[in-house]
Amino acid sequence: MIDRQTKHQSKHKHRELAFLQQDLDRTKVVLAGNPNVGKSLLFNAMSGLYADVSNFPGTTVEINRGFYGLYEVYDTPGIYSVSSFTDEERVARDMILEADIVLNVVDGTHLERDLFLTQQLIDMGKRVTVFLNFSDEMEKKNIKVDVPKLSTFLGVEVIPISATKGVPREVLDAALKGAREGVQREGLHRLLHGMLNRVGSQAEALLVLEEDVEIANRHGVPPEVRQEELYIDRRNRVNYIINHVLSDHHAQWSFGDWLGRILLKPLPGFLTLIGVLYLLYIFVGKIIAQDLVGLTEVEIGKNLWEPWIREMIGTIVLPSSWIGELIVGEFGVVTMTTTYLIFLLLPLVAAFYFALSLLEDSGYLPRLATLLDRSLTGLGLNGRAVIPLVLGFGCVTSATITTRLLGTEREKTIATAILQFAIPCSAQLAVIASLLAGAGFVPILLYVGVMTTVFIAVGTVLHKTLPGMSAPLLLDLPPMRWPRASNVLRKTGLRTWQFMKEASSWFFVGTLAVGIANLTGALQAAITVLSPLTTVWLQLPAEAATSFIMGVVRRDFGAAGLYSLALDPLQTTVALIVITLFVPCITALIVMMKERGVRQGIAIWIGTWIVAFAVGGIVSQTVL
Amino acid sequence: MSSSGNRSNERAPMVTTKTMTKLLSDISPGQTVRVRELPNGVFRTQLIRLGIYEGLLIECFERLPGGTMVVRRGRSQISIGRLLAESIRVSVEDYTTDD
Repeated sequence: MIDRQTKHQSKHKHRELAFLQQDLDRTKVVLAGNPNVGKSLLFNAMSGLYADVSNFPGTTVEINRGFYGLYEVYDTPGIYSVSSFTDEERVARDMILEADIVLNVVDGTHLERDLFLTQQLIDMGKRVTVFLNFSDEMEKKNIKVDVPKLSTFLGVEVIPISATKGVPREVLDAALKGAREGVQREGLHRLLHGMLNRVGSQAEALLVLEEDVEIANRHGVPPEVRQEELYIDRRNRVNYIINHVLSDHHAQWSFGDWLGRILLKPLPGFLTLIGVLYLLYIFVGKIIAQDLVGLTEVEIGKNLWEPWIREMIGTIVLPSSWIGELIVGEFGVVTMTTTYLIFLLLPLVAAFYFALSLLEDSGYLPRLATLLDRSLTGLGLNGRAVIPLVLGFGCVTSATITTRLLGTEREKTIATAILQFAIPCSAQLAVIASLLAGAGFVPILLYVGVMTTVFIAVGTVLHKTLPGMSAPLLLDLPPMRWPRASNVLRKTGLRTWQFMKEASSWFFVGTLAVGIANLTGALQAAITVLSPLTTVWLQLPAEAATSFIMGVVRRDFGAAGLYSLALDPLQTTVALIVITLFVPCITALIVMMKERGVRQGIAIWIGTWIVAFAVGGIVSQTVL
Repeated sequence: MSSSGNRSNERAPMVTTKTMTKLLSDISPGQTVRVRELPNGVFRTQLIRLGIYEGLLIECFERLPGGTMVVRRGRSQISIGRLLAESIRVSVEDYTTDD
């Protein structure tokens, strides 16, 4: 590889500047394809371990970059077409526009869906090679594709692969070398040339013709209104190709197909949902939250780490001095924070993201969305809202951003409100699960019951009061597949890392603030002011107010504070209900104000205060 | 599950004899129908992108209580909410397949 690079550089006589020109020398390769077609596996195969992940500017959309020899390889979010309906699509669109070569991964068992994007990439005039993935599954299912014919129709190389079994280097090299512009229909070609002198490239010309307002604005030309015409033309072309290359008359139904169908039937669907929730509870709530965390938090954190670090720090500063208090005291920055972050939060958050990635990669979520569509309609949402709501159990902040994929402003408001009120994030859930698991069955039932009621109430009230109509569901159902371990683990690692990175800094700020408030007496004053509310109305110890105040900084942090209080099971339940319904953490609030506007953000924020104490009090007065 | 209708997905004349149009929401599972009219607005292009547009055949795959529909085109499955299904006109033709 180095040899090739040197040769190339000496040829162009810019050896001295090589370190500056690295990016100019590299050919940009972009992997594109529909969701869940195995792009990430191919990306891993190409880039090896050394990939970097970053968020696309201004979005939460992740992009992965790696190197394959002299090529710079990018993985993009899964899309159905190059357009700008969603954030993911905009990101993928911009990366495809920048690409020198596009490697298009298609699911061989779903050509009808996937070739639309392929044909569009070709229409954009990009240099393309198509990877026909899942060739092993196609064989098993008896789906036959005439590959040479498909390649002739498209005008580009089509290479059957099975990404899960690995792709040899020779195949990758051949794909990159063989990438070329495909066959454009003549009418389209002429149309593109008419636009070409007004914008930079064929690709952009096509997008302007397809009513992409952003691209049109970039070039100061008005967008054309030919999207429908071009889409129908492309769809017809794809159907024509499919009719000539695909034969699946004798296709076998696999277990995945069968399961995918069963999950759409109400009774098996709901039974599966209950089963999935139960397994989730066993895995996260029992095995991780009790057994593992019991070991890490108490044995390692409280009994080994804290005494050790206290002693170490004690040799430098006096533990009883104010600075000692801040560092190793009750709310110490290195004692409590570290125990909490590393020994309690980390295993729980990782477990949660692991479960979430499994559900995502299996193709279960879109079927759940279909199953729950009718129920969510009653809350002014549609099935699609399942995705942000489920993601909310991971992190409410990023879920608030995913509400963008909902069709109307009305739905975004409703989903955001539900997320902020009634969905505990993984960090919070972690603490809640371990506290509740110790409290017994009745508290669990009470907690879940109250949360579900608030969930439904918030949705129903907003649905009845907000003007306008919500959009109906339209969703492609991907095939059900066994999730790939490598992909699930990679996703879990990545998300956990990002979450912990974000959570840690706020956590240190929070502990420091509470530590200082404790030292200056401000904490005591706040506890006194809130005490009628905590002791009389909620019937909790006055110190519970500390948790509420900490909860303003981070939701989970508030719940963590409950650990140190001696509460009976029902008191625990009341405190947890208040903490869950209580204000979202600072980052969630900031994101909410950014997404939904300051007025709506503040309104939801104040609403959570009122509802949290009102509901908590009512429950307390009833059961205690 | 037969997919016999799908291989003949080329456009058919818009008016045929023995045709009667219905709303997609009124079709029962197992029936294959031809799309006749799409609603205007944001869903139109998205439906086209997914392969549901005037003249093409789709099979009703599943119909959930509450009216959410799942339709099939070849091996693709697409969920359509009740309100959207009520705005798509289809025609039932006499070659309706059953298993």
